[in-house]
Amino acid sequence: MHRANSARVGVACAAVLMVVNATSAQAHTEKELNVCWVNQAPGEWLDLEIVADGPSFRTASLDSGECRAWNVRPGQYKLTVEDVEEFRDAMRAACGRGRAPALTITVKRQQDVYKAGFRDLRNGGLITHVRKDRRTTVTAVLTCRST
Amino acid sequence: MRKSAYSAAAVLSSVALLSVGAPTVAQAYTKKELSLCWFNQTIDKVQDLELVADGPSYKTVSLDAGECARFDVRPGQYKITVEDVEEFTQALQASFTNCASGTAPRFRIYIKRMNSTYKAFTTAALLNGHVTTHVKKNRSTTVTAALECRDT
Repeated sequence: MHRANSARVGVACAAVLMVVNATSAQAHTEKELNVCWVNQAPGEWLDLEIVADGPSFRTASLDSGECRAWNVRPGQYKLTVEDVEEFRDAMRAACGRGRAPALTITVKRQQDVYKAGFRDLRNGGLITHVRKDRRTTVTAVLTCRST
Repeated sequence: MRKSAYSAAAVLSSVALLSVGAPTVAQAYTKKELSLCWFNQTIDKVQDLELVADGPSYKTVSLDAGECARFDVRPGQYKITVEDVEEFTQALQASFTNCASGTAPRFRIYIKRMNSTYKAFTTAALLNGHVTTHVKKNRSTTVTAALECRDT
């Protein structure tokens, strides 16, 4: 009876360890900054020319559905696009006549997501923080609304 | 005579190679990490730029058109602003009327890091009164304010 209980405790401990290990594995990353682009506008040609200006400096041109993950130094980052005015005009063109672009930007840290938008780019850039070995994911999604 | 001519040619080509190689190294490594430049294409070029770099180091400079200042600064995040935002925007409006005929004024701020340049959103920069960027130790960050007169 006592041995059976010990076995059960052992299995439970192993399960807990597995969960802990899995969580650690998910949390730890060498590529701390991940940027994704989803373009749901009719103009699928529009890519995202993203700039990450912080303790490291990174740029990328992303096609729709693409992500880029970088190994970066920790600290505060300003995320913007190479040319905000050009991007705003291109979003309008990608949505076409009678439809207005809506850019949603989500920031994911510690498995929690909050929402930002084009206003952040308009205000000079989206500010977020990157921690060493922890992932920060920024996803920009372009949709179009009927006006 | 011929030999020395060849030697001279060899030396010249070595110098040429070195001078091609050297700028790359010099571009990558610098002790003056922060460069601030003012590009002014107006006719009288009268407007100067009184810049302030506020970060781990603090630097101020008054730049005439076409001038750059380079500073040895501590690494970190910097706010680049002007000494008096209102005064600057008023002077900018006046300068806008001072482009050659057939050209239109345009104000832009470019930020260059790692040989890649992006443009700060002008409206935000003027409304907020500043742009932010980061400076890495021994690496160059260049902020250029440009009052351009573009062909219409």
